[in-house]
Amino acid sequence: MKSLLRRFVLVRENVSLAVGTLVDNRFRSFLTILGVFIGVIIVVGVASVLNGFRQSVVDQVEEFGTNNIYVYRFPFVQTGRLPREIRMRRPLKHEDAVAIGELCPSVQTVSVGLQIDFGVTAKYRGEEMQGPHFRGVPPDDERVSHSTIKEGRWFTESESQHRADVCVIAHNVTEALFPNESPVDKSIEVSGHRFRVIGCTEKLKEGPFGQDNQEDSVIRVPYDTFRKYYPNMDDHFIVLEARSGQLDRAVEEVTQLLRRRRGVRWDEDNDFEVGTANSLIESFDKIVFATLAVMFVLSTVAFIVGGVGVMNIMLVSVTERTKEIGLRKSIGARKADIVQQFLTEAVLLTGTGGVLGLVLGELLMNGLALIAPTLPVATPMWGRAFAFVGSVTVGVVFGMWPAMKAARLDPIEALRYE
Amino acid sequence: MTPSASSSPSRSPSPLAHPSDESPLIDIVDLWKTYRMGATEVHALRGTDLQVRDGEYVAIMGPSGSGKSTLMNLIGCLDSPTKGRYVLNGRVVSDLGEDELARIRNQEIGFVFQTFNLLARATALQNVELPLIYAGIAPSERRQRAEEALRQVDLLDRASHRPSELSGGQRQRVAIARALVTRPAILLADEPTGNLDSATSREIMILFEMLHSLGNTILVVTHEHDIAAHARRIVSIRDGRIAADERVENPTLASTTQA
Repeated sequence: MKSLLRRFVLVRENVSLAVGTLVDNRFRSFLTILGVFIGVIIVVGVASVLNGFRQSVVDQVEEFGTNNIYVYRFPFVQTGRLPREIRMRRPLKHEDAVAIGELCPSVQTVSVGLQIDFGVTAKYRGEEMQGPHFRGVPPDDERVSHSTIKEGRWFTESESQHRADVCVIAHNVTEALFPNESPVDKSIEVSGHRFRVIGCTEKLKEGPFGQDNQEDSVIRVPYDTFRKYYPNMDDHFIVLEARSGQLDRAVEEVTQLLRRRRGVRWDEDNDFEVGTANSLIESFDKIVFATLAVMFVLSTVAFIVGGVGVMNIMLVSVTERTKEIGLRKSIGARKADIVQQFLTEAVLLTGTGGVLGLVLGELLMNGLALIAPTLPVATPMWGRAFAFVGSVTVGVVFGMWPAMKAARLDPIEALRYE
Repeated sequence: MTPSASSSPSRSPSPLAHPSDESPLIDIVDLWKTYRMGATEVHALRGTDLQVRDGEYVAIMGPSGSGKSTLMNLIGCLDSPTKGRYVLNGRVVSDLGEDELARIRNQEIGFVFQTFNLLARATALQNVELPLIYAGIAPSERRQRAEEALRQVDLLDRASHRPSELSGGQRQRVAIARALVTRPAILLADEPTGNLDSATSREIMILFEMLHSLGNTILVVTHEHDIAAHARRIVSIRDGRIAADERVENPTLASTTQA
C-alpha cells in the first residue's frame, strides 16, 4: 500500500517535471519530435486516404449488385503486365453464357455482352463525345446491371431478335450529346452507325477521385444488333445474377461448367476469372495491403529517425542534469525512480509529437475533403491507434538507454559534476 | 534571525532503532575503502573506527586526500565500504544494496552541500518537498511538512521564491530545510559555508547551533578551524585513519560572537 502510494506520488512528480522540461525547452522539443510528428502524419494520411478509397470502391462494387457474378477471361484487378499464359487465354463464347443459363440452377439471370472500349465516337447534330464504351447486351442486362431508367425505356426481346438499331445511353452520354434536350427518340451516330435512343439511365456513384463511373459512359445496344456490325468480335464478358442466397453455389456451378466446357484439366487452374462483389473487393484489398506495407515501412523509418533524435536530446538532457541526478539520488531517489523520470520525459516528448501529428493529420484530411469532396477520406480508428502507440513506443525504446545511463550514474561523481 | 522556538524536536526515533546510552547512533568499526587504479590499490580508509551518539555535534577535519570525503560518503550511505562494519541508527548498512541505501539516505540522512544543490526551476518550497516525494508522502502532508521545515530555518516568507531570487545564505537555509524535512537521524554537512562570506557563514552556524540545541545530531565536514570550533567534538583524519578525536571544551557560540 505504501509502495503503491509512493509509485503514484512519483508518477505525478515525474509527469509534472517532464511537462516543465518540455515547456521550458519548447523549441528544442519541437525539433526533436519532428520525426515522430511526420511519422504520424504519414500513417494518418495514408490510412485515411486508403480507407476512404477502399470504402468508395466497396460502394461502387456493391452498387452493381452483391449477388452478381462476373465472368471474364482476364483478371478484374490488374497490377502490371499480365504473364503470357494469361494473355493467351481463349475468349468466352456466347454459347458458354447460354449453357450457364440452361445448366446452372442457382443462376437466375444471365447477361452476356461484347464491348468496344477505345476509339468510339458518338455524335448528335453538333455535339460529339469521344471514348464512350459501346456495348452489346441482352435485354436482361437491365436487371443484372442494376441500371435505373431515367427517361424512356429499355430495349425489348423483340427488338433484340430483330436486330433493331436502338440504344440506351448512360448519364455521361446524355450530358454530352443532349445538354439541352431530351434524348428519347433522337437518332445518334456511333462509330458510323445510326441508332435511335429509346432510353437513358440515372447517374451512378462517382469514383474515389471524383472521376466518373465508367458505367456512366456506356452506350448499350441489343446484343444481336451489335453482332450485326461487328461479326468478328468474340471477347465476351458474362454477368450473372445468382438466386437469392445461392451466390456461393452459383459460383461453384458456373466454375465447374466452364472448366468442363473449356477443357481445363483437373490439376490445372481456371483459365478464366469468376468474380463477385466480395472477390472484387478482396482483390482490391491486396492492393490496399501492399500500400499499407509501404506506409508501414515509411512511417517506421520516420519513427526511427525521430527516435534517434529523441535519444540524442535525452542524452543531452541527462548530461545537462548530471548534478540534479546526483542530488536526487543523494536524497533518496532509487534507480527505478530515475529511469522512470527520464522515460516519462521521452514518452511525453514523442507522445506530444504523436498527438500533434494526429491533430494536424486530422486537419489535413478535412482540408483534403474540402478540396476533393468526392474523395472519401475517413481516418480509421486503427490508423489513429497505430500512430499513437507507435509514437509512445518510440519514446520508450529510444528513451530507455539515456534513462538507464542516468540511473546508473554514481551519486558521488554526479554531485561533483560541473 | 529568530529561529522559531515553537518547532518540535525535528527528529523522531526510527522504529528500527533501539537507542540507549550504550548503542551509538553511528557505530563504525574497522572501516576500509580501497580504490583500484590500474594495477595499484589506493587505500582511502584504512581501518577507521568512529562512534557518534544521538544529539552530538561533530566536526570532521582533515587535509585533502586524508580520506575525509570518503568517510563522509560512507557515513552518508552514498558508497559502500570495501571492508568493515557500519551501523546507523541500529541498522547495519555496510552491506546493503543500492535501493536499500537510497531508502536509508532518504529516511536517515539529511545532506547539506557546499554548493547547495537546489533545483533552479523549483521554488524553495518545492525544493524542500523533494525528499518527501521520494519517501512517497502525499502532497498535502508534503506541503505541510515542507512549510514547517522552512519555518525552522526562518524562510517561510520566501517559500515561493526560486533559488535565483534568494541570497547565498538563504539558499543554504533552504538546503538545510530540505535536509531536515524527513526528520533524519543525522544532518551531514559537507563544507556548508565553503561558498559563503563570513557574515553569512555565521548565520548558518547559528542555525546549526539552534538545531543542535533541539536535539539533532550534526556532522560537519570542513577544513576550516573556526567552523569546526563551533562543534562540541572534532575528529581529525589523516591517511585514512582517525588521527585525533577531541572534545571541544569551549565551543565558539556563533550566536554570541561578532563576525
